[in-house]
Amino acid sequence: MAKKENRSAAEIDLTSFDFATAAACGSCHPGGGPLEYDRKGNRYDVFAADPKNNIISGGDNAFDGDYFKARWQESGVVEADCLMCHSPGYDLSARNRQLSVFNYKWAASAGAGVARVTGEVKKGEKPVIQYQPDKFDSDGHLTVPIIKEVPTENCLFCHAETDWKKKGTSYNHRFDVHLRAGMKCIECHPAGTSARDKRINSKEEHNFGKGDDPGALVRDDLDNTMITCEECHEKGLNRAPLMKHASFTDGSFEVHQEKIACQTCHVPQKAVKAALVQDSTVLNSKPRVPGLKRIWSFYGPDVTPWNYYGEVDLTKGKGKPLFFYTPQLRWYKEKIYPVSSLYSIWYGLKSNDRKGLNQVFMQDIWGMWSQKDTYSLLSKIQDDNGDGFIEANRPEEIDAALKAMQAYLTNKGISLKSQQVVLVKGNEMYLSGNKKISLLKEPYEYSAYGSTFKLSHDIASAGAALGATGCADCHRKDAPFFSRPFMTDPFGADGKIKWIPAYKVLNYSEEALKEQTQER
Amino acid sequence: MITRKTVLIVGIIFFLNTPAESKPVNKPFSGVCPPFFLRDEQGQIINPIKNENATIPYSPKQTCGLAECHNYDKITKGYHFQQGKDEEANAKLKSLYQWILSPGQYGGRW
Repeated sequence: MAKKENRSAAEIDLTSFDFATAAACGSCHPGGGPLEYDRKGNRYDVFAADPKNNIISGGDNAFDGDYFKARWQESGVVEADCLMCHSPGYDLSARNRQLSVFNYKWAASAGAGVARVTGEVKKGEKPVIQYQPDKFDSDGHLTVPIIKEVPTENCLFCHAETDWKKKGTSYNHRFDVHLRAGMKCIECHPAGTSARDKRINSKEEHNFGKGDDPGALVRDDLDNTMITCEECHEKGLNRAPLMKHASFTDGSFEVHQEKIACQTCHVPQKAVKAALVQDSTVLNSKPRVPGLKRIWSFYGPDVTPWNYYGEVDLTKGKGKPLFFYTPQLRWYKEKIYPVSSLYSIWYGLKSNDRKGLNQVFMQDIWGMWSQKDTYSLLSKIQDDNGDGFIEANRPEEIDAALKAMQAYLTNKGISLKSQQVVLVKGNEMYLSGNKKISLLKEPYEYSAYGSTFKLSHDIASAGAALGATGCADCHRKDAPFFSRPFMTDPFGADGKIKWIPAYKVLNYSEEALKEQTQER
Repeated sequence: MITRKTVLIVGIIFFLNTPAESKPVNKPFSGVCPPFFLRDEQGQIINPIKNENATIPYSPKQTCGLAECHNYDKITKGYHFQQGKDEEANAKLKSLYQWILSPGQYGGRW
């Protein structure tokens, strides 16, 4: 996202106007907030239309990150679309078609199904709206269905796909005991007067109860406002079945509960892939990957290439192919959780005088690879391990990637006097093929630049959880709890995947492992 | 001596003096919107059946937020709407990410 104030176009990638398009972020974000108001609190379309502000539609507009090349005067803004969440049968695709052609203020009408919209602001046309009489009663009142409690299907408009890619969440009744029981998302994630936590309990409060996810950093002050496992299954909220844990015949349940999150045993297996390795240093040439997304090469839990965008395009979001695996385990706040820890590989910019790292814009990665013949060093980067994706793993490949990017940015006029292109792979920052520095990170992360998400959906019932068949589910030699493979490097200098057993990630000593894996 | 008549009189007085807050309160009924018209950004009624303002897209803000039916400003303070725009990134994030503007999707981490 571009800053508000910039000195040139070269400093700008995604603007607030771009943020609103379906191709960027608006396809899921429900409007209001940054889709309605600029960073000084002005409504974009009103501010842009006021002659005293000198905003030119499509102009540079003093490289203002909210108005650069923007066309708010014609597009309007994306107001919060109440019906996107509150109307069963809402047509998200119709809404997003309007966003993709800059018809921002027409999007809500199309999404609600109350009107057809033709014409595209993007093409310089003025959209024409035609209301559908069958969506109104004889007096002209709206008749589309509206429900206070947000239907699960509407939550999944946005969460189905993003939680697939990031967490491998299936939201499939077969794999989730709560969905199978007919529960709605808002039962565990309540808001408004339905919420039990005082922080979010008030009329019209739209901050939903949330958990505490190390990978999600918005409104951390509202962490743990959702309904917990214990509230239902220890205290019997809403007559939920009380937990028994009958297989813990030795009274060790409390010991487990102290160290292990409920999800750890109740998410014993995942059923769809997550993109656990995300490489944005090379170009993905697989089919059906749209435009700029080609800078992403994703790998699944088995660290083999996964054409995620291709699957999304082919299936049109109607199905997630099955892929079974045991999730990663990590310590977080003194408990073991199942997680999706993301391993990222990317081009960074290291400044001489500033802390942290900046990143090379997506458009520049795309721009460089689009001119592969000009930046011929890129041809040195090969698919060493024969998995179908090229990867920069050998020192000479990393050098080639760094030098090509330096040349591209220099040719584009971006000064590298006070900053250096680096390649960040997991927790290592490569200054050159043979020189790397380890970066700081949290124990539950691969790197500070790759999110770790706790897994709290696709919950297995008691009969399918770890421990259901006895202690030996985990406490035996070679039990997957301790021995499941944990990837530490998707491609080392030899091109091979590096794995370690889970107990090492969980910091169990060999002695502790021996004790834990004794049969009992 | 306390007679039945005394008990009855005391009971009636107590009933009549019951504080208002302990009586059932007629809370405004919520959860079901009354029949309503779509409104445009100026708050004008859109009525396609009578062809009133039927060439203008509807405004969710005016339609749902009009006449204080719903508090649009409060609702849109929710994190689903703000996406972190209304929050400052913490010191740790700022020290790691030079590009970060917020802890959320709006100028934050992916």
